[in-house]
Amino acid sequence: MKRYLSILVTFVLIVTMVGCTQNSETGTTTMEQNDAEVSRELTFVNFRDIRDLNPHLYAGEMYAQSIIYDRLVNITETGYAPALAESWEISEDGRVYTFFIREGVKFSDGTVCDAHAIKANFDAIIENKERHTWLGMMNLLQEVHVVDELTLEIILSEPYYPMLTELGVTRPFGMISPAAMINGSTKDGVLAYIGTGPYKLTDFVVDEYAVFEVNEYYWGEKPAIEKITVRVIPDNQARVMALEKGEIDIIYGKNMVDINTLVSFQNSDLFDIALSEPTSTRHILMNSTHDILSDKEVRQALQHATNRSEISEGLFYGLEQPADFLYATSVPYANVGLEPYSYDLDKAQSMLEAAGWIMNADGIREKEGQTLSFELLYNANSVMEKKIGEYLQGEYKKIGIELILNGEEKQSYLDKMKSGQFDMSFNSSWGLPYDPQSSLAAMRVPVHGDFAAQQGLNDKAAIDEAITAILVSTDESARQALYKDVLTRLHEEALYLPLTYERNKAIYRKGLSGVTFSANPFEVPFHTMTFTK
Amino acid sequence: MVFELRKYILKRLIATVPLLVVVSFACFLMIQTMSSDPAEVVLRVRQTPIVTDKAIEEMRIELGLDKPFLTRYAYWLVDSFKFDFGVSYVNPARTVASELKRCLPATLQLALASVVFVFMVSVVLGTLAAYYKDSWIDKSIRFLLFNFSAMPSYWFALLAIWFFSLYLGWLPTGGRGGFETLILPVLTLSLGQIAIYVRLIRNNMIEVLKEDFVFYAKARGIGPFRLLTQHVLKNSLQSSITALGMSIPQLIAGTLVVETVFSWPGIGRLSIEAILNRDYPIIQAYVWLIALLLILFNLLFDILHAINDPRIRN
Repeated sequence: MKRYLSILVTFVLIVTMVGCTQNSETGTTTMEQNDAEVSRELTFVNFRDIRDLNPHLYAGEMYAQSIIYDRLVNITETGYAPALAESWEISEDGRVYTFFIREGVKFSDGTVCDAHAIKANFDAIIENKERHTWLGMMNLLQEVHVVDELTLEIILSEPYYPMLTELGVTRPFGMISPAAMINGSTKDGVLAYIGTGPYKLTDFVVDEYAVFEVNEYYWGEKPAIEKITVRVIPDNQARVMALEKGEIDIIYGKNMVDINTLVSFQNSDLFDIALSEPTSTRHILMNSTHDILSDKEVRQALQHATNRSEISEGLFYGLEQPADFLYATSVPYANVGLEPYSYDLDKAQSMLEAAGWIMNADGIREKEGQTLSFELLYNANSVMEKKIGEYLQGEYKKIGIELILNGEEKQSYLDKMKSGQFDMSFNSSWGLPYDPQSSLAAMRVPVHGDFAAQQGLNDKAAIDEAITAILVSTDESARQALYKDVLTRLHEEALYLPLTYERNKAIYRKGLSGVTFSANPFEVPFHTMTFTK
Repeated sequence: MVFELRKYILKRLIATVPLLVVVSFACFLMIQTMSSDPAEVVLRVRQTPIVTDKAIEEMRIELGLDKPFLTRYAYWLVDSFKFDFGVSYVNPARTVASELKRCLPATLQLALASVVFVFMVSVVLGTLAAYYKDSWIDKSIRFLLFNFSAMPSYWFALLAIWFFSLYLGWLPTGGRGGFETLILPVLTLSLGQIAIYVRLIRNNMIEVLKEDFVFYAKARGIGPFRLLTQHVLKNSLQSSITALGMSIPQLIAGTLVVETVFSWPGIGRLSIEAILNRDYPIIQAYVWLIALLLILFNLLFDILHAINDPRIRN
């Protein structure tokens, strides 16, 4: 009987194994068949659901909002491009903007998109003004009125140079069909996600997938990809395996794939990778109200003690370039001829000694009984921040600085940043098109870590005044001079310890071409993508 | 007899109500101690670029957080008896009840499929291990299970995807669809439980095999297959069935990792997102639901026992 059972077990095992082999063969054939045809359907992936795609609020996924809705103008690498507004005029005094609306544009539900429809959108946005005050223009907006069917006039109380940039951001200025508003309002939700953009949402299941298909009413050139299915895969590793299996065509985004995975795909026969130009600056923010870090000499010594090229090479395989400044010199107005802080350990040491910090027996510097020790706050979800932190811990130790790492869950991390409960903290600039004007503007209000960290600066008031002056400046050279003033002050105060320039990343299967990056890293230019096989 | 049982069930059901109230109050209290202001987090999660104090104040009023703690709890409690758990902070367009309704079936499917799978595999392996006690079969079963159950489920899940989906090209890597999408998540979820039940069944069975009736059954000439399936197994499953009463809610509550790795849209993912986003109404309802399930399954299995053993009813 024992023998009978053993035979049974062996038999079951053999059957299972034979089953495996057969199945894997059928699997391969289907893959090959799919590859033979040129597809017009793209399977995209995101780590979370599309959520609420109301264009006048911020809770939806930006890539989806940007393909459903159009704005008056688009922001491109080379400047402003016409979108729903075919052209525009700005009055001499910089206060009146006249937009000439493109003729014959329809929303994907067939409603006409004219000046009245756009006015209805502005009304709905203004109704919820408090949410949008991060845009300087919202505070200056005096009147929006319809001149005729195809002409819209916006009047500001003061000139405001980033006006077109702000109108070009994905939200809140995406235009939704007035028929989808609830009694002319959008702040408490919308009836449907109806826009004029190249795609429309045709199907979705929360937390599983969303399907976008070409909008037959689209006014521009119709994209080559006719259907985009976006799958939701929250886990990084599982996402990569889904790509390798051929279940998805592309992984796209700044934090959708880690650097080691990207490197492993670099020389693949089946996949290509793409990297954008620098999008934003990864940096460490030092708190000027901290009793040791309030000393500028100490902050500058830390700048000299940080080997940015080794971080770039060693931790990012050279895929993120070392950063010298708070904003890359390619960011508008940010090329102001500053001198970077060179990596120079001797200089850092002598600066610390000059400031009175003497090495003790444990190899840590001391001054009047206080040790040279800081806590570095990071978002516990970020593997890279932890790695950089550990690297810096070892580096700073060499010159007698103790660095204590403190990883916090995201919301607690943000709370601590806001309330200034940190010595040093990881941070990022906002990225284009919000850099430099919106992120500088935000330094003036107690919302992000910047405000708290700058409280110890003697010239904080002067910096804030200059930022305000930038935003209302009408003269190009005066504006540039003001930017130079602000950026120079911030650089000399050495409050921001730039590390690397972050880049947008993509891994995609060979056969997909035209994978590009738009000026806004949260948007995906699906219209340039095509399948070649 | 029937009357007595009814009275017993009724008594237990009535006792459930105060228990749920205590649990929900404790949960309400604990949520208050979470760091971060939920009104502020909501604005952040809705990606408001600059969260002003005025916006936070407005949001607090919108969410009803300006009312005193006990008032809020009282409102919640009254509504909860109507199965109205309010609206999600993060997605105001969705009610908590609709979120639970959306996610619970996916998780129940996963948990119940796992229970069936665990039970089937455990009975076979447990019986084999007991019957061939200390032989190579017993030792290899125990060795393999010991190792598998020691593997973190996240790691096991990724290895399973790599092996079955990528290497063999056999199953999808994730998502919720047909039967084939259920296999890997169920396998991952079951692993730890199988180890427990195999041990339970094996040990019980070894004890039962020592009983006199087994000896006499053998003497009557009953073959080992019939002996095991018809006599020994039935007498060895008692404790496993009791344990199952607790395993089902545990499986429902323990799906988080599996749901994340396999992109399974269940309540595990819903709850962790709610915790990270300080979505109080969802956290509260989730805890309430898991408590309810624990109590109900416990009760169900107690009743089964009571039917079996009248002494318990007194």
